[in-house]
Amino acid sequence: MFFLKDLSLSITLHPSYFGPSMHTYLRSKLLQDVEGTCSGEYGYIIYVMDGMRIDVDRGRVIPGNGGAEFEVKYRAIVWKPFKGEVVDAVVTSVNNIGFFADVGPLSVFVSTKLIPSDMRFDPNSSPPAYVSDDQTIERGSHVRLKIVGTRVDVGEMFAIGSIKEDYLGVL
Amino acid sequence: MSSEIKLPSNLRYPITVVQLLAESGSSINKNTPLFSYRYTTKVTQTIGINEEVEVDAELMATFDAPMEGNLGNWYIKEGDEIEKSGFVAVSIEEPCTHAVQYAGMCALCGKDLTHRDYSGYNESARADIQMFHKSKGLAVSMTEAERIEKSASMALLTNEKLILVVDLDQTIIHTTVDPVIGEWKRNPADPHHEAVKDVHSFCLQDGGNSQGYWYYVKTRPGLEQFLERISKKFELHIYTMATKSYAAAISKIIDPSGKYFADRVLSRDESGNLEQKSLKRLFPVDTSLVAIIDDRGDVWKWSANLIKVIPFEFFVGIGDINSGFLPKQQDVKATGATTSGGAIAMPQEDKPVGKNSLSGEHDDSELPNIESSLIRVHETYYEEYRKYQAQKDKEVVNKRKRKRPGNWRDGLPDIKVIMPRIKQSVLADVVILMSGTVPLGANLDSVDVVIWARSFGAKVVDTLAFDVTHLVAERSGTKKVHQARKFKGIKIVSPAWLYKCLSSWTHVDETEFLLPVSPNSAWDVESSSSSDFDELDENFDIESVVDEVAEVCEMDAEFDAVVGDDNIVHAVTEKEPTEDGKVDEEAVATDEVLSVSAGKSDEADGEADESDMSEA
Repeated sequence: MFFLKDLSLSITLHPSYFGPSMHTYLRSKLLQDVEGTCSGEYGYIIYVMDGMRIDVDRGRVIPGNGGAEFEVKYRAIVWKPFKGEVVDAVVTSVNNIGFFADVGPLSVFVSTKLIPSDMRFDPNSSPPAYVSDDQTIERGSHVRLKIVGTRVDVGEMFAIGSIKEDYLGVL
Repeated sequence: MSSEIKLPSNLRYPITVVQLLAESGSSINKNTPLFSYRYTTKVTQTIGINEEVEVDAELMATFDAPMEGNLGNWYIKEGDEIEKSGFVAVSIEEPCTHAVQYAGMCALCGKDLTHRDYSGYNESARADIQMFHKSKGLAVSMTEAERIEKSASMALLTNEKLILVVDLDQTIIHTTVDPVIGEWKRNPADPHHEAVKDVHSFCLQDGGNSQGYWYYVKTRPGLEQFLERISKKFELHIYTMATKSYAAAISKIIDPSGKYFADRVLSRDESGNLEQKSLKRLFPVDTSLVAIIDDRGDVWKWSANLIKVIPFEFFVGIGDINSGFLPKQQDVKATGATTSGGAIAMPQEDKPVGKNSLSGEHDDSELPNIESSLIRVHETYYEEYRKYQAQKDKEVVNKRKRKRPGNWRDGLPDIKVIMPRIKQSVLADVVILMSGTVPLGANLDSVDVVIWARSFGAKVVDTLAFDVTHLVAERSGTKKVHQARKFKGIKIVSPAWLYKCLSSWTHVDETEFLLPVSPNSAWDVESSSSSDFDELDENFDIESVVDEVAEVCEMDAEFDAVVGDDNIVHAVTEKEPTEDGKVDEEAVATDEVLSVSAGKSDEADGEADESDMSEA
């Protein structure tokens, strides 16, 4: 699910960056550090909104160091997959126990147990595919799936999906 | 699915069951107490102020359910004493056995299994077999792996197919990163252009170079036809020590449409081992349908499924660019073990590239050879399979008796049996002595060529003995060659004969490969032994030496009769401790006598030749 979220990040700057373009630098550093990352709390930070209206505070010089710490407040679009959420995905690889699909940055595995039983794995087709009378799931297919479980690792997220329900499957 | 709960090793055994706390059939959660037990242990008690005493104490504890589900049968009752761990206490009917796991989650119910609690029960260990080519993090349990492999094997058997695992570098292709190939390829006026114009090239950005490296790939002659024909009888897999991106680029070259290998590519990134290849990685349960072709036997530990092929070397001197993590390959080039297939010599740094670096067009016939061997294996396999089927049908018709459901695989033919059997018969009656190919004093058991020859049934010995049938010699001037010339019946052949036998799986006719008799004075005694003969008498009586040799030969023959042939061969080849240590020593001693006297006769022979020369 997508959210608009107000977030903040503290950035430490070396004194050599102090000067007229300091704010531009802080902004680009923020985008670099934050966009595309993933945390367990908020999911993926997809996009930092309003690039020019990022709120940078006055900064505080760190005693004994000369550098300064800035608290940067920004608003971002975050995406966090939830258990039970239905998402659209692109199939990336197919094997005999299921298939992998990408939902943007998230890699989802759908096992044969969670694929309708009329879809059978056909190892002889090229590329390998799950085939039923009227549907084919192969690399590149678009599918709609329901997330049945997620797990966060360091900087990464994984999910298990299912297409064994009504209105799920090949698009 | 019902799981049996074995008692873990972290309880203080022996324990006595006091009370069962859950009823059979009831639904339990994880960590619900299942039974309470009593155990004794030593406890430190403080008496008074400073005094500590260790006393035996009887304590109570509960054993908690490691998983949720419905409680099945109890296998223990109140009052039972359990001596050690591993005892099955109870069975639990689980809603999900988490048999397929992806990135720490159960792929069937979506539960996070990495969570560990005080019980120490590790759910992610229930599926620990990675058997998929491209999917890191996907693992299955043993039962699931068996089920998957069974259905895959059944599909193969109905299609009359087997599995072939193919190595890339120096087996079906040869790759170099030398930019000079690119120059030759781009410039039609270059004298080398003709030789490299069908070399494929691709660029990979790895290894820290932002420009990327260009790779130049030559496919082994006949590869396209080989894959085309062999893919009808075999399911093809790639197993390489190269990186994932390299493997992908190569498979695009050799199989652009993906019809031979599809997604079945396993590279260094997924294999999980940089030094060894293992069939267990892809086929954890059953390897009876699998054959391997690879130019290196050592990485497979000379598995029975392996067909070792002669390395393909097109860019001479480059070797395998992806073997960085492997032990150095034993040098076989000097023995002519690499095939060139129109090879080109690589320019050395200090030498300008002359026209002569293009060697003549040799035909590399390795792939057709492999193909015919593979087809032979395939035919034998399915011949036996049909026999097995017929037998089974007969049993069903005759007895109509329900057999105990054993392993479905029982009685099926196995490549691990069939292939060695075919190979062993090839050189079964051959006893080989190597000369000039294996370093003196090297342990024969660790030499690739020797292991390879032995897998074809040949006996390889390190000393000239009476049962030697073939002397494989690099040059005709070595001591062993001269010794062997004395014995009729020993065929003195070049290594090319051996390699031809090994790659064609036939006992090739030796006539073509017989070593010519050396020009008489040009022979050089192997360095280690030359000093033994420095002080020989000038007026050496040849006749007497020949007699002496004959005598020793007789002696040896008698000795053979007494000790038995096998013991001697063992003593010489394997250096195994035989049952009787004395016999071992004697056998070696006799061989030494033999070789020394034979050496003498050599010396004499050389002199005789010299005198012939002077007469002429």
